[in-house]
Amino acid sequence: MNELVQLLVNGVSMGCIYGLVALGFILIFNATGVINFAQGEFVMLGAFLAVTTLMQWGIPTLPGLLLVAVGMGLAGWLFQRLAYQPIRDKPLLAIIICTAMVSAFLKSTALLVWGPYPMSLSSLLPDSLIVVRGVVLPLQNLAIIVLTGVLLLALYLFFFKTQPGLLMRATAQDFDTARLMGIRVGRMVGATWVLGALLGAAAGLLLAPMWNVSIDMGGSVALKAFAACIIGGFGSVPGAVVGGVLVGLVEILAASYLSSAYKDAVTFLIMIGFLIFVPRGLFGELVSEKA
Amino acid sequence: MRRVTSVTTCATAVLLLLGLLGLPRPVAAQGDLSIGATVPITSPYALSGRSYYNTLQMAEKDINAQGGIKGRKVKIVFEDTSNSNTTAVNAFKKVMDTVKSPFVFLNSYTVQNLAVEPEVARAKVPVMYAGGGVAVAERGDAWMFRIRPNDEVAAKGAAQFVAKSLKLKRVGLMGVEGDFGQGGMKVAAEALKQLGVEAVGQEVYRAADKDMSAQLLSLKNKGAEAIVVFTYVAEPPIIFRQRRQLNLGIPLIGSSGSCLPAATNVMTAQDMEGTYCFTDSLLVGNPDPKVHAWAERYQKEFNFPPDVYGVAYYDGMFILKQAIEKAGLEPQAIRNAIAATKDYKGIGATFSFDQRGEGVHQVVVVKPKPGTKNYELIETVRSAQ
Amino acid sequence: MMRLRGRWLGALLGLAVLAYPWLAPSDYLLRVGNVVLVYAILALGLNFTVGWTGQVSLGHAGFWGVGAYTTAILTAKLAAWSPWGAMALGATLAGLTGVLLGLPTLRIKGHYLALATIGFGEVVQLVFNNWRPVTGGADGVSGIPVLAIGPFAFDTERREFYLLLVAVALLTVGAARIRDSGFGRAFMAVRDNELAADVAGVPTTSVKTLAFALGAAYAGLAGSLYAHLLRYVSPDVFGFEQSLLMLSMLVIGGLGSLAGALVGALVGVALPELLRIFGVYYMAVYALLVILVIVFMPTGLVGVARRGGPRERPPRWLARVLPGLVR
Repeated sequence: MNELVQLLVNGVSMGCIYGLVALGFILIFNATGVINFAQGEFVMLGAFLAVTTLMQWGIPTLPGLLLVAVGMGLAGWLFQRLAYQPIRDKPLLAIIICTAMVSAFLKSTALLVWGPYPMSLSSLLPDSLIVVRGVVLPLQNLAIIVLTGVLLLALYLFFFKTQPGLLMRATAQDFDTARLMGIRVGRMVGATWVLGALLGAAAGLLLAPMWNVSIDMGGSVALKAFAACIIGGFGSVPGAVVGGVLVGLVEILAASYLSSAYKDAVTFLIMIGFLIFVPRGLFGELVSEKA
Repeated sequence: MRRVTSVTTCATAVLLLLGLLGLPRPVAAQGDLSIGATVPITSPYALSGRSYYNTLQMAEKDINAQGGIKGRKVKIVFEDTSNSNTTAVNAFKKVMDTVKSPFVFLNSYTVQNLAVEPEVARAKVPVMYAGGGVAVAERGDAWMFRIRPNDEVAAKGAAQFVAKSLKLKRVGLMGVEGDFGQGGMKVAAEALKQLGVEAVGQEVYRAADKDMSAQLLSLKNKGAEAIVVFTYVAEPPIIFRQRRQLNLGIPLIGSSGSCLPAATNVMTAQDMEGTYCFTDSLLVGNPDPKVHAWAERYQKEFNFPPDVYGVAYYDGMFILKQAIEKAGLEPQAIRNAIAATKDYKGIGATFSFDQRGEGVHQVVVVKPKPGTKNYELIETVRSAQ
Repeated sequence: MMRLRGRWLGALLGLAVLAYPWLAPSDYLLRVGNVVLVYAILALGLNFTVGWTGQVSLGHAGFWGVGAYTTAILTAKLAAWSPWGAMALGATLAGLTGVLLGLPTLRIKGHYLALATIGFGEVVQLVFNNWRPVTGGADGVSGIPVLAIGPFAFDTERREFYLLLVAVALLTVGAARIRDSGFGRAFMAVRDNELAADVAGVPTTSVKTLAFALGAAYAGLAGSLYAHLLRYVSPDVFGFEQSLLMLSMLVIGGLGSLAGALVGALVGVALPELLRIFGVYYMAVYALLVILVIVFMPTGLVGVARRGGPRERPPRWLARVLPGLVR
């Protein structure tokens, strides 16, 4: 029983990270229709930037994180300005492949800047364990769950209680009408990419202390995040997070009770199953056919 | 106008490609002895590749400082293999074409070694490789020489250590998905059985996994007194830390990936306490002053500790030097000279090549000194020949 | 005047390709050419699915793997079949796998389909990696024989080159024929407006399934040819990264055009090799170049793809050089 609780906590905390990545991904998709194949690299970039500011330059935590946030925001904004805006009315496939190339570019550049060896980012989350009724829980996992909750709350308040958030939601819901209403849609799209980058970076910062920072840390996380979006309901914001948590749980339970080698297969088969039988996912709206 | 631009660009690009592909390559200075090396310089494979990219250059410098090979300056020509089989083969072919090297260094990835092997057989030049899979030697290609203990030697060495030195009766096995991890577990389980030790379980995890707690707990619950893990480089920090966090209380014996500096660099001494590692050799902290000096020199020049992959290629380069000095530059002669090398004591391991091209037949077991990340030598386990 | 110049250039290009082994007599350059030709087949196949029928497929490497492994297992592991027979079976099996993926398209479209194909590709690769008794697991299958017709073996790069050239030529002509036939029109009808096509009586699900199957069969063929070229297969070749590469070849070349598929394959394979001179930086340079191509030429180097609106007509100049290829 203890073991089950341990597994569940681990699963949920990993799921929170998937959820954050999925969330950034869905926000970008809702606003632009683009499947951003570089979302995983936002995770990697955020973690590497934190390594540089906090570990290599020795800047204290709070200003260091602010610097990372600024850096990631800039990266997100540059990305959409240079690799999305110029081609936004061109075939969707070209845009998607472009994001995949940006992903490759970011990975190669990271290799050049930070080298091939994994780096550690130890200062962010507490390292100790707490024992509750015989269940051993790493404090880090609990911290991840709590921090994700806080982030989601902040996002909710932003989107529903502030003016800029309202404008972004409007743009995501109906681009053309928003433009007709006088909303500066270009800015909104830019802001959405910035937010997507920041969410990716947040996931990277939560991932890094436990799992270290390396060039390929984003790739597998992103793939799971895609699955999470499908399961949660593509286009749904709460769905992305719930989907992420579910994927985290399924993974760890499949690994323990089935076979670790095939646990990814389980996740993908569940995703394909959802696509065939429940395409709207858990929270998605009815999929309307665009003629 | 745009259409014309795009067409012209297209045509120009195609013609440029055809033209540039045919351009003659810059050759090394006259009289230089060029040796080819196909190394992963880009992609995540650079994790291992960087190490021997460095040590090969170190060896090149050292040999030239001593006067070169037979009076000729050595020049190592690198081509990137990336993480793709196709690219690795292209790199080998490019090196053979442009450099006409009588010898080539392959990289440390079994799958790429296997991919390049048909071309090595065709090109008829001796090569040294550091991939660990037994499958490479099983190809029976007389041109290929392995400069590291293969995975079976390592797995059997670990089993022997656990049975005879730690004197345990029930051991858990964990391995990364793939032939190295799962194959290693199989070999270890078999060897353990023959030594009267029970392998209580074989848990697999995927290389990209971020959480191995399920596997660790499962083995502990099955009664494992220790766990032998077959890992690459990225997982040991996670596995070691989770073992401590889960309070497993039993020793972990990790494969060479777990004591590579690339892995220990991101571990804490706390996480490493109570662990062992079976690997080719001990570099930093080796009691032999020659080895220690070499390690210090590498550390100073490349700002990072050396690892067993790097030293293997360094030693390999000097073995090659000896072979060329003895037998000349003809590939077949070099091949025979390397094959005849016995008991060559390198900085890292001691090399004796057998009929399957295997050069190293032992592993060492190391353990971090309590409270530190510095390893000390515990035991050398020789494989039965 | 334009007409004559176009014809001359076309002939020159054709001659250059035929004479390639003499223009570039190095083993390495010939191998690069051979790899280009294998990817050309992959690109041509993917073009059926993505370029003409508009179905985003990101699992194409899976079909490639099915063909390659069929050949590997039958000719190396079991050493029981003739390579040609194995190739035929490989292409067929790949095609059937394509049908398997195409059938659910009744209910899955657009980005959902894209993600489903990714999942499919991942599962196929997992099978290659884990079904050790059959596929050899992560170490793959070695010792695949070269292709041969009787005593004549294709065991040099040059012989392989001509074999592959013939294959690419035949498959390209075949693709052109399909394009000009009712099937081709049905494909494009589904791409342009699936609802309208449906209303007009086009059996859209069958058409989409056929597109997947055809693309998969081409990929299976490419897999067998690849297996005989490298004489070794392993699971890590047939993954998502490769599927993405193939799709990027179509985008770079020009979605929906046969010339685009060929040009895309050439750029996708030859450009990274060309950039080796940049040493450590070459991957970054390659990615940057591709991004630039996409941003400044989003309809591809051949420039004929279009989205939604009226079709861009291919430049007359190019249409004369490569008649029938640019449409």
